[in-house]
Amino acid sequence: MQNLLVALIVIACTGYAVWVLIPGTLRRAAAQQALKWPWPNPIATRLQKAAKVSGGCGCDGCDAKPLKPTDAGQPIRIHRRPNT
Amino acid sequence: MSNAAALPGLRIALVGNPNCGKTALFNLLTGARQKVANYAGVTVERKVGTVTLKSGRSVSVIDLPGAYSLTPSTPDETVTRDVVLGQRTDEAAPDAIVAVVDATNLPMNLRLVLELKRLGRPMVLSLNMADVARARGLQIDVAKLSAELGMPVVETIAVQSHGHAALLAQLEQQAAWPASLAATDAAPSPAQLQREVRRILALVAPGAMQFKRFNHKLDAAVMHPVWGLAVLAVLLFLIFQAVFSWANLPMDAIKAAVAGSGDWVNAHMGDGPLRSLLVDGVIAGAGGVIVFLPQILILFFFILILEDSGYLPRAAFLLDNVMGKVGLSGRAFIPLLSSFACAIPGIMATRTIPNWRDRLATIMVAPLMTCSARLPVYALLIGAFVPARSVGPFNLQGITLFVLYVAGVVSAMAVAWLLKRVWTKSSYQPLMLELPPYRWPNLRNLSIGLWERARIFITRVGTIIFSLTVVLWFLSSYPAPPDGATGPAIQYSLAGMLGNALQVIFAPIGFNWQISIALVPGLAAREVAVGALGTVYAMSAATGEVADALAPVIAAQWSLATAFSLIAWYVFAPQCLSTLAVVKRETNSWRYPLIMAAYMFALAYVASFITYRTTLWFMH
Repeated sequence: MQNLLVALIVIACTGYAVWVLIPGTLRRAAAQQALKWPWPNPIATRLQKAAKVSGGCGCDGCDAKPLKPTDAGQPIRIHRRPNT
Repeated sequence: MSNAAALPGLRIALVGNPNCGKTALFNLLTGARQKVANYAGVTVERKVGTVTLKSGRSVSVIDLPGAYSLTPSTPDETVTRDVVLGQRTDEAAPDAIVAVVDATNLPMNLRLVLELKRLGRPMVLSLNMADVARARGLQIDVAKLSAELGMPVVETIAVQSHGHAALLAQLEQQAAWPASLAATDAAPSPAQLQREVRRILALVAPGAMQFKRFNHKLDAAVMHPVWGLAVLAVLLFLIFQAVFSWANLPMDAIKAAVAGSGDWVNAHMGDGPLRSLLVDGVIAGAGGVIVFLPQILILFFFILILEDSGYLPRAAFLLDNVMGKVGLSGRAFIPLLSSFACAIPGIMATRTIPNWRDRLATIMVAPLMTCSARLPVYALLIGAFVPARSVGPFNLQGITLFVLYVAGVVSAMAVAWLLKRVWTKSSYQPLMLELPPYRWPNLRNLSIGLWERARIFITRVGTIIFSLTVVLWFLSSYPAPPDGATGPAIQYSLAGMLGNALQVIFAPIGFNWQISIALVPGLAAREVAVGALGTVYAMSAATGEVADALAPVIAAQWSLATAFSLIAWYVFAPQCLSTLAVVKRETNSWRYPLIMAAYMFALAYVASFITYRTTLWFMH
């Protein structure tokens, strides 16, 4: 019995660690594949979220539109206080 | 269902100058716990939350980075412009805009409101910090301001729990917000906008132009080029003293609880793999990391106070000269400071740096700042090898921790200096940063900030650290030792084999096979190394003493040279896959994270080698 419990815990922890640590693109692809199967609601919700996020830290801001590096320096413009 | 509930969902955007209280208002409206602080540039990306009005109508609230105008000069301002104008491919423009202004700084804040008004969208003005303005004698005629701007104006106090009531009431009536036609004439220049702001203020708040926001006497001392630096050094020194001096009692309590749980499992469970997993894996590993929670909270208690008080941007100005000398932009200070919590928000905060080369240089050095994940490693090694004796009024362990943090800063400056000379060459960019007024730290912000840090740390211990220590326990337990084996079982296991193979690389810097094993899961997150050492030594030990405390075990088994070498390793080593992933995303290339990993690994190895050999030389 102890061996069975230990095996289940080790498998679950290995699965979780791999899921968290693999690159975002792989995780997204895996989630999209997994969504083809029927899952209980909480798991399906998490999979849908993972399938949507485009990598990195998974924030919903800049992921939607990655920034492009530019080298353009920004000139500083000083505006004089009007006399009025 | 009421009529309002039948209305379609509403999307509103919170738009305003940096540091006017948008995120605090967002947190109040949505119940979110986004980071807030008393300086510009805390929010660098858009966040979405939902609030359900009393009528049942659902409102999506978009919190945006602060912007001075709709002509962006930094990547974070570009996010705001794109969302407000509906220029993002996957997202329509918001249905309505809540323009948030700092009531104590109307001459600056109203300019953006006038720009937003030209978009012709339904708008409401949130006059934030109205209480502070009133308390300091600034009279604002809200009705007249509303008439002049042609939009409803509500007073909000984003740091009070019901400070958003008036805004919520306005959201109920959103359908009645006036929306003019979008302006088609040429956009006015900033000077024209400023003239219009002055005209409006002369009518609605005549005292606004002369309103004193700053304590110049205090600033003269705090921002003095010599005394200011001394104040900063003393402040940081005292913080690191407190981390060690104040944490003893709660740490001892947690240690006792961890040890007690190990003893309880040993007493109530028969010998077998499950007991070994719980005691040697979970309790020695994850339990050994949770012990450092009080030190992390004490460190963040002070960081949050400094953030909320308005002192940090002043420190940025103080250090601008130093930053400029090594080639970094003064704007790099806030991202580098954010990296003390974690390199990931620090790297994302570099979006406030307009010049790409300056931004890249800051990204490349941000992981050298001492993140909170290193604290458990430092605390373990300092606790084990540095005696807890007094040096004058100070604690030697606290002084050592301060020196390690300084080492991180100095190494970041040195690497930046080198990078700017050989790779990311660019001219010095002057620092232009809006100084916030001083204010007393808000107890609510402080509590939420500490709670968030505790939650993040405990979640990490309960998820990734727990999982990796279980995996490491498995690798340290199997395959079982052969018949007649004399050494500890772990030596014959997969982890033992891996440790022995890695030791070939790490022996020259004094690492034994146990440390070599711990470095591998430590790649996931630095503090996992502490849990991994706990598990590895528990598996190597004949008795259960490691589950009780790791520090005395390593103090007895490691040389001082090995301990110092491991500390030097952790000052530089890039053991965090998440950081490398974020660098990839922020730079849109694998080139930069690979360069970062390579240079930091080389730096760590060389630093550890020099430290190890020098310490050995002194000891003999």
